[in-house]
Amino acid sequence: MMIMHSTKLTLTTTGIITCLFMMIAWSGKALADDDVKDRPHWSFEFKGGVYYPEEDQWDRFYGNDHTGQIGMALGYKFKRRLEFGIESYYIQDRGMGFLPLNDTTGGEVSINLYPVNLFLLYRAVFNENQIVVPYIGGGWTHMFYNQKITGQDNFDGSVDGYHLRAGIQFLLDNLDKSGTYRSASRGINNTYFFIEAESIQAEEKKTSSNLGGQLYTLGVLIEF
Amino acid sequence: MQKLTKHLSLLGLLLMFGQNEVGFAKDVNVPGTYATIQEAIDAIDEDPDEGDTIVVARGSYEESLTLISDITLRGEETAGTILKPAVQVEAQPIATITNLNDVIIRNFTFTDAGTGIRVTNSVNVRIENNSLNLGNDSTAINVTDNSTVDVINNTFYDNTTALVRASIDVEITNNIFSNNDIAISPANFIDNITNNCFINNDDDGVTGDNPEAADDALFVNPALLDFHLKQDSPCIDKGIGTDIIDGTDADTGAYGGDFADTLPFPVQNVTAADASAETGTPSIRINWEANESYLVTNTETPVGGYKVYYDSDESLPPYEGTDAGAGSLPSPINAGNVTTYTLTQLSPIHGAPGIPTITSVSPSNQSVAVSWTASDNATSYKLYWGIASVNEKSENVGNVTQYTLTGLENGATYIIAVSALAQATYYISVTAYDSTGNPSHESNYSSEVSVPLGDSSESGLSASMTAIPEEVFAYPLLSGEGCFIATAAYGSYDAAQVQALRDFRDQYLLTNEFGRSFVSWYYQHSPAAARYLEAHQEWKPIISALLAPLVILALFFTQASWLIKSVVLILSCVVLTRFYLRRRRRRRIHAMAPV
Repeated sequence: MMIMHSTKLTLTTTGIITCLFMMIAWSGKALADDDVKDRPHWSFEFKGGVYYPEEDQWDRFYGNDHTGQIGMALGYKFKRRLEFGIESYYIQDRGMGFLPLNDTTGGEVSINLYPVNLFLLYRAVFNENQIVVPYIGGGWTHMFYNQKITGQDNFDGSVDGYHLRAGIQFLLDNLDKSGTYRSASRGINNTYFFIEAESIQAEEKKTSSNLGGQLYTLGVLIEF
Repeated sequence: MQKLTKHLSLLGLLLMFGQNEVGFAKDVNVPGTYATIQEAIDAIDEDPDEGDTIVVARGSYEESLTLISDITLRGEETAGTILKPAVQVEAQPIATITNLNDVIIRNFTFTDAGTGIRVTNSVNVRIENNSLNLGNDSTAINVTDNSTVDVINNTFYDNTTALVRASIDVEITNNIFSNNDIAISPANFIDNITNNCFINNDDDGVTGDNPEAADDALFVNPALLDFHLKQDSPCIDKGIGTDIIDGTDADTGAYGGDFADTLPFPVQNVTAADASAETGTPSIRINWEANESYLVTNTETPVGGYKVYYDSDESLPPYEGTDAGAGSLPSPINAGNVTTYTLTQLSPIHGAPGIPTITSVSPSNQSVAVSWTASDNATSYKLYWGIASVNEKSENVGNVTQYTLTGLENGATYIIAVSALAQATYYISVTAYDSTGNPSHESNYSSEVSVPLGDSSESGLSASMTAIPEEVFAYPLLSGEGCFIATAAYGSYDAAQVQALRDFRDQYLLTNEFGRSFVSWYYQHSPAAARYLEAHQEWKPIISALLAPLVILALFFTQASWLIKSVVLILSCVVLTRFYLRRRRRRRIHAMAPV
């Protein structure tokens, strides 16, 4: 049947939860090591990738089981290895709608998702020149959505949920020393390329539809 | 001996023509031999022969051209062969001539560019019989050094600067400079400017030895890039030399001199309509806009005029109709110097249309998209649809094979069929010819118009198909508006009963865990039940009756005030309690009664 609701946690989510436990166990050491002078406090990410929705019939209506996403994040490091911040994505897909009496697809439909995440993140950075920095985090999600059906009224709303994410950052500063120097003179301490996996759970209670999914992302992060 | 001489001569000729180095000037067509003008130039550059010509067919070309030596670039029709730059930036001319010799650019319209033609360090360049209308922040022709260039019989209209020349080696003859900010710049070279018209420029720059200026060049229609001259234009017969068109003294501007485009501008705004009722025979009345070029409207003998082309079998040229005037007026018909003409005594005939087949019906919200196969001889199609019968409504939807029926009732099952219609259709075009009597001086065809004429016949109906228009739900279901069974039972999502159930759901079910679980279960399973209901219409009254108490309860809980709800609740409790007590008393009496 069309309106099936998948609320099970995926393998990705399970993996992230495991890492989160490791992060908490590690955080004691992190706080003890936090003696770096002039450390950067802020970070900004620009990222994009693919989004695999939790709902299992996405491909029937939108032609594919995934779609594109882009996002931004702004974080504040209250400790060198711990930061909180806000991030948001834009996810959009177009396809056909559902005609229950005919039990078929039809019409033109588009869906826009705007998850806004408040997150707490742990970054395993022990040296300012550390090339590979794993990180893990999670937090509260508020998912705004908008459905457009050609010739019918739009439908907007939002639901609450949560998210977990983990990834690896690669320090780029050593690749271009002169560029790094110029960036430093403008207040940018470090630049990272990163890959990330994120799981969002955001269920619409009225219909038990889960707007969450798995996001696989590439991006650039600057610390300043 | 004579035979030997003959053979040696033939051998010599073969050797001469067999040599790659020896060739003849050739004409290369664009599009045709090459898709773009630059491709043709590059091809000639690889195998050049003196006098090579690129003939560019009518059309609009967005290219930035780099020319080569010993080449002629000629447009097929000045007003219809339009050159625009590939990249619309000021620094990118449409045509660039650098370090070349013997280049001719003729019979084009240059428009929408920062620079039309730029010439640098080149000799023996001729730019003639072109229209240059580039607009704001433009220079039509820019000669940047001592290049030797002849600028002859061009029309410069609405440019920022029409012509920039760095020396008097640029000879300027028989041109019209009209409505430009600056006509010729700089103003310090006064030689070699002869017989040009300077009209309504903000600054003529330098005019040289020229006819008197006037207020209006009387172009036919600059907005359509038609820079032919109207009757009484001050630029008629004011140039040096002779016009190839009418043999009189040369006009100034793009349509004067030895190499002018001899074709009148195509006829505009042709319309046609069935005039059978007026004439009493199958007839078509055709109207068009007059071509106001003095060469067409010239009142001296012979006068110009128009030709009407028609065909009842096929669209597009060559228009070989034969039936007008009961067969006495085959296409084309010389209509003379008029702007309306009626084709009379036509014989519209058509073949029998085949029956189309519906290939798909795609329901949507209050609509159904229908597709069908094309039929032989069909000139249009007629859709039939209805709920009780396919003949309830019908519409002629034109010559298409897909159409969307709209304004339908959601939830109702529609029966749909299609038929093909056949009717004779006439295709008509008009041309203009000038007053010279030269049969080659005839314009290209106007835009074609078509008119259905005579009786039509209809094929049988296709096999019918059914479809149920309904509201479209986006996936995943977020709106919680899927009261599918009730919608099917009451026929519309907007029915008051359905709304009452929705309100109850929102206020009483979605506010608690049990209610939400029920709604989720309902949304998963109710579409199947609703489909069954649609397929078995006889159940609808029964389901409606069964739903009625639920609807009344829903209305009560959602619409009644708390006071009324409390009173009804108390009364219900009292009634139920009394009922319970009475039953209990009866049981007790039965138990005490002797057996």
